[in-house]
Amino acid sequence: MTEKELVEGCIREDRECQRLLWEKYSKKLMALCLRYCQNQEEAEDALMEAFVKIYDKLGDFRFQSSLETWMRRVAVNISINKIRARKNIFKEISESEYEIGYSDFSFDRLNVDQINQLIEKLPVGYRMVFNLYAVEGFSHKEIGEMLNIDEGTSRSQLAKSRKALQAMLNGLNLGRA
Amino acid sequence: MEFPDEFFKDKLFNSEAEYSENVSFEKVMDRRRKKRRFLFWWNPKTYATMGVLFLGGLIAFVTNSFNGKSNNSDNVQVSNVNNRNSAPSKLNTVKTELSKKNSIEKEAFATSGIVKTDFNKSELTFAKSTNELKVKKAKRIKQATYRSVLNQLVSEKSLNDQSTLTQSNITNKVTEEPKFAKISNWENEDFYNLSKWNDRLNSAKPRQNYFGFEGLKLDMSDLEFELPDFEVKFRNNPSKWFAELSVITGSNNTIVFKDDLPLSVLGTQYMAQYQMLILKDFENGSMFGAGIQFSEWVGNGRWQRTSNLMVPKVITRKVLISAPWQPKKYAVLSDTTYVPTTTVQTGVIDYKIDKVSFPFAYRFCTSIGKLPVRFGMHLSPGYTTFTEGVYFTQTDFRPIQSSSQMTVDGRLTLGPMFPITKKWTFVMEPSLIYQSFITPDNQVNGKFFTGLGVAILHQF
Repeated sequence: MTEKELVEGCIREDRECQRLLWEKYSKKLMALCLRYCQNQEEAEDALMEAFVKIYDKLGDFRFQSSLETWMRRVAVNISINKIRARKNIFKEISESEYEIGYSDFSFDRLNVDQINQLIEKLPVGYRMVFNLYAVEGFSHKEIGEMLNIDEGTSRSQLAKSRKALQAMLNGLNLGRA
Repeated sequence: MEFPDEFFKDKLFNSEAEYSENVSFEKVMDRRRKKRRFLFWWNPKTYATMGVLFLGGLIAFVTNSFNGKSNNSDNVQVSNVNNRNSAPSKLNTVKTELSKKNSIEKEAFATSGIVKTDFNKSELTFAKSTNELKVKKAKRIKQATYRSVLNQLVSEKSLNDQSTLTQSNITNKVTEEPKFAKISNWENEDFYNLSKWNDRLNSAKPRQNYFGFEGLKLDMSDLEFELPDFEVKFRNNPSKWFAELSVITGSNNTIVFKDDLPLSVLGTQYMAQYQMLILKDFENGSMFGAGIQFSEWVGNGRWQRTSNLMVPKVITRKVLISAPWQPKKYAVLSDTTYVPTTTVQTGVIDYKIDKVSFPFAYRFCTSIGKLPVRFGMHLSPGYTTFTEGVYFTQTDFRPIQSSSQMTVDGRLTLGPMFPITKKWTFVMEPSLIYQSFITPDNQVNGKFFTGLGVAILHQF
């Protein structure tokens, strides 16, 4: 079944097509929601809410991008809305918390789960900007529009998130050396 | 080296994660169906429309009640009035004596130009003459004269507005010619004895309930003819149904903000309830009823997370190595130590919950001394209509799911009542309120609030 047939089936409220869409993308979107949300429960709620919206709004999908990209965008927006409600997204963390000198860490030693665990440890604001920029590939301008912040804030949050990640990685590296 | 590189970008982008058994395709579709089903209820305009319609209906009902009552209640109710005890012979005797003694009536008859009246029939029927209306008019004049004297007595006893009502009632009553013709109480001498009326009024017991004065119970057993006692009432049949509109606000503080706690919260919560009820009076002071209620529940504050971490710290030193016959060299020595560091993170937290409930209410009206008071309680199950933010307790906070959740509220009130008119009563209600919502995994999140409310009560 092609992507178009799948979408058309979902618009027709074909249960099998809807189930197929769920089975194909739910785990990917769950990983996405987990990267943004604070805990498993919140991520699961965001996932279900995202799929409800996806099923409702599939009629608006114009095939100008891939279906997955569109679905990811919906899930990202819903996750952001959930986080935005907490109002403490862009708290400035003291840089002294990540005081570190150098790094020659080889990322190859880590698997994706370990990387995800490190990302989860980031403060919410860092994590959001990092995920949006480094993983989803949004530009700082787009991130600024999505989060209602200016580009400079997005850049600084990204830089701080990278620094924080490096600090955590180096901590791991020291342990192994 | 930039992190993450393309390898990890792809890995992260395409990574998958498992979800718990709480998440499934069926649950998504179920949530979607519920959302569609409750789309009507989720729309705030729905509530506004329903509120307007309800108020419109209430006003129309009240207006009709006033109009209907004004026709009925303006009449003095005379209980069990009939002429079964007015035997023809006795009645004729009374009438004969009355015609001799009462000059007013004579004058009235004289001015009416009546030719003949037939009092000898078993029933009181007047001659069908063209002057019949004049006779009736003359009797009305006399009736009104005595009634006005009676009303003066009533007013002297500080019955104020009730006396006015009595007068108007009686005036209206006079128009009911056949009934008064049967009573014929103006033909009894004792009826015109003002001192006896004074005694009757002195011994009359006021009829009063917790909503105000209802009337006087007059004992008329001393009248010569056996006219049954009748009650002076200002309402034909007081309704047992009430409408109540109440507004109540309350607050609750959560203050646990200590550095030695891993997570502490400092917050304040407020709630407001708007309630409309229909109540039925069960005449022993108790009322039961049900209605609809809209509640707003907001909280805001700060959270503080304290964590003690061992942060790695690298201390580097540059050391000069100077060996004989060798060029000077520098070496960098690194020493890694772990420094205990206390990290304090703080943030702002808030939430908002709107809900619609359907309260079942109980009220008990009594008095403390001369002050009428009302005890009330209600239990109202309902559903959230809007949730946003992060709900917090003294040591925890978590996001509220956006889906509709069941709620159960309770309220205890005790406060004074102030009758404004015979039908409208104002109530102040210091209250203890319990608000809660129940998450899909049956976790009850509830808080107690203390507050003050006001209510307006209308008797139909």
